[in-house]
Amino acid sequence: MKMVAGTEPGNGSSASAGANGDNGRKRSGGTPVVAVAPAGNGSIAHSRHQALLSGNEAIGLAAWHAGADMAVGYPGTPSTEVLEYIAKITPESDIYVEWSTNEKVAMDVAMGASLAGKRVIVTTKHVGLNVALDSLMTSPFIGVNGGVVVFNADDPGMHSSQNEQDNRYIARFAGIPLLEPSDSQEAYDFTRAGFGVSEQWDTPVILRTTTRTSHALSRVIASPAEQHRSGEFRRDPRKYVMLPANARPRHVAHLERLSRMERWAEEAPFNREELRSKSIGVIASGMSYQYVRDVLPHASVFKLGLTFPLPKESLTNFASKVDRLFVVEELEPYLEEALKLLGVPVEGKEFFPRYGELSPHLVRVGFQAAGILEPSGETAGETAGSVAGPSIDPVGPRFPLLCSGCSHATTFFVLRELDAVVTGDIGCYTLGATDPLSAMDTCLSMGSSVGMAVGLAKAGSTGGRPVVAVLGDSTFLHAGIPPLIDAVHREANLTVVILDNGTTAMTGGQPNPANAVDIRGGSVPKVDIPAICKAIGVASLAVVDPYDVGATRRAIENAISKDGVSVVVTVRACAESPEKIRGPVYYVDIDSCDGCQLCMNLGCPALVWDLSLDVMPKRVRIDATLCSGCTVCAQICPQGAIFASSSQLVTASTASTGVSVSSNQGGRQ
Amino acid sequence: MTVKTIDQPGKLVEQAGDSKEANEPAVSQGNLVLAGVGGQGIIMASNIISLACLESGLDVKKSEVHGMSQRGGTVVSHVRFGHEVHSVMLEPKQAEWIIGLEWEEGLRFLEYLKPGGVAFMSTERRIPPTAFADRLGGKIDYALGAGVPRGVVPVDTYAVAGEAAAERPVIAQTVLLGALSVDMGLSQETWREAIAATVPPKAVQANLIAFENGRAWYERWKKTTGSKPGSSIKANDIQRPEGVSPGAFRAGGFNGPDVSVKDWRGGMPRIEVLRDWCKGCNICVIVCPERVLSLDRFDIVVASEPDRCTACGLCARLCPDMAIEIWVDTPAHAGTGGE
Repeated sequence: MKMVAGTEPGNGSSASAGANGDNGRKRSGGTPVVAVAPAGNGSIAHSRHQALLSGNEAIGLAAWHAGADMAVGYPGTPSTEVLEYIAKITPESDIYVEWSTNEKVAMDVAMGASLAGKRVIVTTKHVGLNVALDSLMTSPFIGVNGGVVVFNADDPGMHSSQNEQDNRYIARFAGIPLLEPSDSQEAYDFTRAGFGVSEQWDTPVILRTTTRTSHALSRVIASPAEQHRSGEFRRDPRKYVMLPANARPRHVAHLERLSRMERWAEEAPFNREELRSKSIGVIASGMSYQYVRDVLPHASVFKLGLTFPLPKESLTNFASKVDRLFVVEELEPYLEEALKLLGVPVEGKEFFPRYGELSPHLVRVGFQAAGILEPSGETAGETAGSVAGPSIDPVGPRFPLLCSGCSHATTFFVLRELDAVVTGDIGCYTLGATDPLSAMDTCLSMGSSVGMAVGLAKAGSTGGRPVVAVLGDSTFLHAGIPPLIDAVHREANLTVVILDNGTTAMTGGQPNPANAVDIRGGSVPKVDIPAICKAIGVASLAVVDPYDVGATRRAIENAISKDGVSVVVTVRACAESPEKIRGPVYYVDIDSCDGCQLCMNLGCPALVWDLSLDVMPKRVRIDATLCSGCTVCAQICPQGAIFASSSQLVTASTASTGVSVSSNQGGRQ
Repeated sequence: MTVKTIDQPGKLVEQAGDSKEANEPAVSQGNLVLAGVGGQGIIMASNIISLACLESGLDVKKSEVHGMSQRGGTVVSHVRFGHEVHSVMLEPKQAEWIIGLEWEEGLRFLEYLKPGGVAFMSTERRIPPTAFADRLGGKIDYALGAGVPRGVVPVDTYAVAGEAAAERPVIAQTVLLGALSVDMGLSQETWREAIAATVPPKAVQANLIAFENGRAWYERWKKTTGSKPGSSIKANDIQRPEGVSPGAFRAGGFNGPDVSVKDWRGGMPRIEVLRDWCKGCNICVIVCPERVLSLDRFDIVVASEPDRCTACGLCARLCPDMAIEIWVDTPAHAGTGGE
């Protein structure tokens, strides 16, 4: 669609940082005034266009407007929306978009395209950058032809992650320029400028956001779009082939570049000094800057947008202008340590936590502890009751759950029965660790379920319990294949259950290489997971429908009984996928239900207590608005008390127990 | 003014040439928290508010967290608007308004309400499955009480929506937005256009009706109650959860009968295994919903977690060798469950 602001190729506008971000707003005096451009102001044609975009959408729009030819990545909250947005708003002919098999593949694809002269954006969450790190570390040695922006979204507070590592250290570790926007407009501006910085310094650039910057919506005014770059691959082995003899001079060149970049950082347009009060100065970047502006509106602030390399002279100079200097930063004392190395007296982590997500409230509490702010009635000294009144009820927790009809539930129900040691992995199915399924013992990182299972099996000290690794289809392709090779080659005694729901469900249903569609919905060849297992040499391989409880149990039990590596692939579309099979809604026959609540051990959100009956134990009711008609609860009900709403009897023939439970064994017949 | 969308939430606005000055909002800055259960339309509702603010010439920022997006989790969105907005997140007691699409989720975020602020809360209740974990005592871990905290305006959204309620899933939010619009200002036209640009095309008409009904209802409500949220609400005004018998509601909160298994069974269940009859087939161990049983070193079943037994009788009923009996006061053999 062509109505997106600034989609028309512009008149060769430069991608350099200063050229962007000034349209329709002032930035003088440290108070960026974002105003709707008045009608009739024709000076900048596109300034009349504004959009309310998330940080991730702004980054996607900016990559397109910067003339990027390629966008690659692996889904991961909170980074996923960048590629999805690009795929949604751009014509297929304009930009190639790829969900890669994993982040390292994405990084390599990007480097290849860059050497061919194309601009590329790579998207990943913070832990995904670990996977890409092998290539990322050497990428500045090779350098770029077309600009490469590596978009990295950190997740302080671990809203949807297994750790909260601070990836600013990775930029410093690799010696790669690091840009940190603090709202959607900056996300747009910095992304566009990032391609120019990358080309100027012949290195990839990391654009780092946090969950808040990525997912918060704010105004974006777009600037004129650029044409695609023309360029082609030219041989340059001494720069592109990192043999030791070539890499040694490249390392020296890399270090020389770093010192030149440090001088450039002093003048780079990403940082700004906002002088207000002389008594208090704060150094901040990203969302922390916004919190500081709210909590201490009169403080002087040095706002960093370029956090590697740091403008050391400017920061030292700023420090000399204020009486007391603080660093407010989320997670690690990255800036604080750098300033202390410069000999700048600065306070920070003694007042602001080193873990979790920062918030305006925590910034306020920190400045109160530092004696900058008085504890005020607004935030302290009042109890909740004084505002809310005396009648507030205690509020119970509300956790995320596997969906009703989730094809993973049966597997965990069975694994719990079989008393297996279950190594888990990253995906929706990690919720199999929670009550009432409680059938997962470990979760470390992408693909680690299989490797850890090898370790447990080889250690041989699981008390006779079988070792089962559980991972999803996308995770298996991402990082599960090398450890499966290890397991087969080392003859480990374990079972791998691959939960193939035909999508990358946790992040919202992105296609993976085992699907026949790509991100734009186009038709692509699909990779055959059972065939991969066979080719690796897995002798015992079964494919089963997890909606068939008895078959799933027999398959997994049989696999466990085999020596060596066995694989069970459970194939059933994600309950949230468009192709889901919604059968008739089920209901509980209240005269037959005796309240054993075995069905509730599935953890299905549609199964609740029937509160219309004043009896104990509580009988079960099926919430018809949530039931997907998967039939699993009807299959395991010992009373045969669960029926399809079309009234036909469901034969609870073979329960997961393998025991024949016919309905005439019910209590009241 | 023309509104053009580039994706479903309708975020891109193309400003036409007309003057915004004539459309100066009644309230020039404010903060909102919107809360509910995943899938209720929290994000859509906050998109509508943000778009209405943006079109009124205000700066606006909105924040929520996606990710562990399985159905049924808490979803909360912060919206801030004004001439210049910095932080996307609020501090406690900073929100002029709270929109609760689900009763308990509204309560959960009530700490964000400013003294004197108003929380528009749907009386709809969605009890999460995890609230049903106490199978022995029958206690429900959910705020089922009928009390209305100060500052809260309970809204029976489906009743207020009236004829528009046929399209329930997308209606409750616009009923509450209609009530909000009375206090928040912005022009009616702006609200309507923001709704039209955000909800699915076929639901636009129903949502506009729901918006009007919500607005009219709150204006009436303010007149009749003298505009004191939470001050004159009777317990009966709170909608009961679907399927709950009227008697289940009690003043001061309903949390299930405050009884133990002993009370409702007449005695603690006792599991008796006839060891000579048990052949260790393991069926009872597998079927027990509470995982009470296990096999001992002689492969004979024992009650290893007897405190978890609810006397459902399943083990006794399915034992092929009739080796298990459940006793409460009188022998409660399979199926009768002591009742």
